[in-house]
Amino acid sequence: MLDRDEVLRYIGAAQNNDTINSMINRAEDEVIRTSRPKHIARLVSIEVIASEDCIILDGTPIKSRDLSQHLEGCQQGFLFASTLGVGVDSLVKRYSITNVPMLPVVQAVAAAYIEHYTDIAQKELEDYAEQNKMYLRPRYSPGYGDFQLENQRIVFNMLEISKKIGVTLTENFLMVPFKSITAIIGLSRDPSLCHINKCMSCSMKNCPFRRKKY
Amino acid sequence: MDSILENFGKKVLFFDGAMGTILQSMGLAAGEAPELWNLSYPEKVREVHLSYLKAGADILKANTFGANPFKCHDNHTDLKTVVSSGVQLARQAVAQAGHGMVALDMGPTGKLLAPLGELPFEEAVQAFSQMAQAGTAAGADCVLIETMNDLYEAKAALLAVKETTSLPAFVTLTFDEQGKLLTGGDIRTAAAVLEGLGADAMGMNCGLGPAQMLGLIQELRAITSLPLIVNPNAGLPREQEGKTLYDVGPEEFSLLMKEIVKAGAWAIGGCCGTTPDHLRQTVSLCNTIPCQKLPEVHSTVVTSGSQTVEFGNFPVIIGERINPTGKSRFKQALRNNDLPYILREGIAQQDAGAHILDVNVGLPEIDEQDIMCQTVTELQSLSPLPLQIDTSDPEVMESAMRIYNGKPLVNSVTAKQSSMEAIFPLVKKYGGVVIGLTITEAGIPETVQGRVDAARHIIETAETYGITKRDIIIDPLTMAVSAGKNAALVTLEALARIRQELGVYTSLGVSNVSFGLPQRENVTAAFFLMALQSGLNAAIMNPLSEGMMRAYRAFCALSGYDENCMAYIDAYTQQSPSAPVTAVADYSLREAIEKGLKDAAALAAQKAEKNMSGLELIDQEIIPALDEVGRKFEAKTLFLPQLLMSADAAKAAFDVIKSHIGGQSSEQSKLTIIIATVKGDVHDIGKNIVKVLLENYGFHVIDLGKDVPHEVVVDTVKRERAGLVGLSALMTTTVVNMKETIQLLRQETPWAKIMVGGAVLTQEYADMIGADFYGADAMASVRYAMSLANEL
Repeated sequence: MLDRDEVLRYIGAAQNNDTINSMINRAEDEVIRTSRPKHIARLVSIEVIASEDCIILDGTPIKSRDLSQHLEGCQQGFLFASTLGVGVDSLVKRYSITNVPMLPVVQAVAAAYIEHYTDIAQKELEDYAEQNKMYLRPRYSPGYGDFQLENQRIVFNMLEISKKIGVTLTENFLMVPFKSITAIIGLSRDPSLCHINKCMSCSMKNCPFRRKKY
Repeated sequence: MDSILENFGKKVLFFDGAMGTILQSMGLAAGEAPELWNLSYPEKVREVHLSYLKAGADILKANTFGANPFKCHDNHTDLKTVVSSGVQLARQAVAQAGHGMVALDMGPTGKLLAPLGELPFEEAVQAFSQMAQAGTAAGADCVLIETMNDLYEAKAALLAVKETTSLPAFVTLTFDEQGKLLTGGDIRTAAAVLEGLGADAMGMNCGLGPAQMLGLIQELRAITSLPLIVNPNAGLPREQEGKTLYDVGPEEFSLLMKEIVKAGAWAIGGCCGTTPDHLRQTVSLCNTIPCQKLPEVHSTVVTSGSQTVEFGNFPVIIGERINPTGKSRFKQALRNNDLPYILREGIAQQDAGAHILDVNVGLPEIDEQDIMCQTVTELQSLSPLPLQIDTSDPEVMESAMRIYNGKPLVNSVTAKQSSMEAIFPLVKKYGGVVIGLTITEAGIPETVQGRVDAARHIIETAETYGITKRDIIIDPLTMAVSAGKNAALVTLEALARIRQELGVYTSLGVSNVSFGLPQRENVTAAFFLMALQSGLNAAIMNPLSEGMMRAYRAFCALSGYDENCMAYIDAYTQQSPSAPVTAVADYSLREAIEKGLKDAAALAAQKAEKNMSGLELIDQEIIPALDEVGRKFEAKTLFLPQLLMSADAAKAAFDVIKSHIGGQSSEQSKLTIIIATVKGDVHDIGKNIVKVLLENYGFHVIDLGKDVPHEVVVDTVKRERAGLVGLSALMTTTVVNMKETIQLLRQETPWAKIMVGGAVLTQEYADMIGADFYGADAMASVRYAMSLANEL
């Protein structure tokens, strides 16, 4: 059900073996059992002011050159958030005390699962785009490039994320439960800009997986 | 109207409908705080209130939902002013309309409580207290704590209200269609906790429409004797063209609300998407329906933050292992503040089949209050099992009950006046089920009648504190049969009579019976069966004892507690072995470590010690094995989980050797390593992995945890004269704090080397912030530590 190759990649395992496989099986059972995935999305108007490296999101200005480039040509988009819920945090904590070798495996499976869930949840947005003869841009999240993490606050308020799906923000704008995603997804009439895969437009080039998001 | 409580149940009371969504239709932007309109557009807020009063509302929710210090942290606006103005606007509307009452409205903080989140429980209590104080002073008639999706936070709010004001306190929670809160708690758990804490009414609001809530209300009505409040949305929210729409119109809404009143709600109104029209139609349809009588509920339940255990349904196992009595290793863990050891004892019992975990951390030379609170806080974030708080110190009891996230089992009260005076007020205030021991001023009664009388005295005294029988469990005390031939029989007869004559549930600490005898498990297990047969409802026992669990599972199968014997079959059917496995004993120490087999490594170390000294074993078996595993990891032929398994196995071998050569397990432990996730960062998986790996390679590691302030790192390095500091950060934003910690360390502790790691770091980054070493992976950190240790 989850993409094994991706899980292995998150673990940092170049190939498979029986030990790792059985650990992944166990982690998959537990992560899926303890997760309560939820998501929320809202259509917003987008105005890109390229000359000022700025976008205006339903009237709220956000300064970011990378984001304004990423959303170039979009007049609309979705604000999106998803989470696996706090049960996975508890599971990770439990393993960090009782069985540390499972820790990287649980972490990898949870990362793959939130991606998997989010891809499915995004289907309804794709349907909307298709009906309106538009295309979705890849997800772009606060913390990518120069799209400052502080902007989480704006996304959280506009989507009422804490109330609707129970994700909270720490003082430093990190999300709890930790397996959560927030993003802006541009809608454009032009399919040519949509080939960039996932976070490939992100400037965190050092990120070993380039899709992994915290 | 005089007071809300006097009117409760005489007729259906009507709360108003939505505020936020209506203000949005008046121009409030998405994401803008509606509470700030109390100051910028007071006339509009008042207008909404008036329109609801005209539609027939009895109780207005003041526009104060998000006016807490975490959400309304606009520096220019004083929180108290926002709350007061909110209440006053509602008061003005009531005065103008000539009828109605005002509820101070308190919503969630938007923060998750510690330890999974960052908000300490008492800070949450304080924040809600500020609101309650301001709202009471401004003239609210009651407090409505609403839209809570975390039961723990609801507890903080309710406690704050009860401690700050004498106004009636109501709590409505937000459930999903499965009847669960976002943080996982279910309806039964919520009802038990809120009733225990003394809420004047409870119910649900937001999230769902009336159709989805109806079934949940029927469920809730059957399990609580509290009045119910129901404020649904106008249907499930639907996003369309950037607008949130609610599709249930006034007529449909009112018809469904009629059903909700018939299901037992005493006060109803609306949440998101409802309008004065919704309310008007609902009032005209429901106004004359008589309120149902409140049901009497007799069940005895304790809960964690997410689930409930009900006594009487099956014999309950209370795991006794978190207790230092007679356990030197556990005492050592308490003295060293070794919380993980204590928590592992809890998890092991959970896995073995315990239903509740007893927590006793009393030891004369430690700060019991502090370690009790730490244990309860951590354990409740890890395990879904309810806890039994076990202490003889009422102050410790109070602080533990306060920060507990469910309805606890409390161990214990006796029939002595002083004990009852100390414990019953706590049970009344915080909610809980208390275990009553049949001990009187004169000691433990020797006769059955004496114990029954003591039990009766406890129950009758509890009543005078407003604690009913359903919140008392009697323990008629197990005495050692070696000290008196009738000791067990007296206990069993008292047990049966207390159950029958007094109608309360019973528990026993069964192990005492075999005190002073050889092969104690024989006697304990037999006594356990006899007690179960006499009607025992709960046993404080060791679920890791196979003999006891065998007796338990067999009893459940034979007594109709185990449908189709499924639990028994699950526990005792041999899993078909998948492939022939080499017997654990056949591995050499080196092989066992390389293969990552923990038990085999410990066994091999024990065997090998007969022929080799501890230090020889370390040099010739353990270190070479770890080296080989490290090489394979670096060559990418085995991977992080396996590296960690091998390290675990090596640790098991070290522990065997250490117990013989007394501490000096390896030369490397001269190097003390301090490790921390830097200030502002809460990601600690990587840091925890590095820590365990370093420990298992024989280093002395002090883990400061996550979100660690600069000064704490510096002070610890100074105090411990640590040679190496490992800092972890996962976000670009927190690498800044890493840099500051390093600068401070360079000034204050110039001798200490610094290594850094984390997803966003690179060698260049590490150089830029002045670290000595960049650990690209966990093994690299170990190699670096080893190279430093060799220089010592």
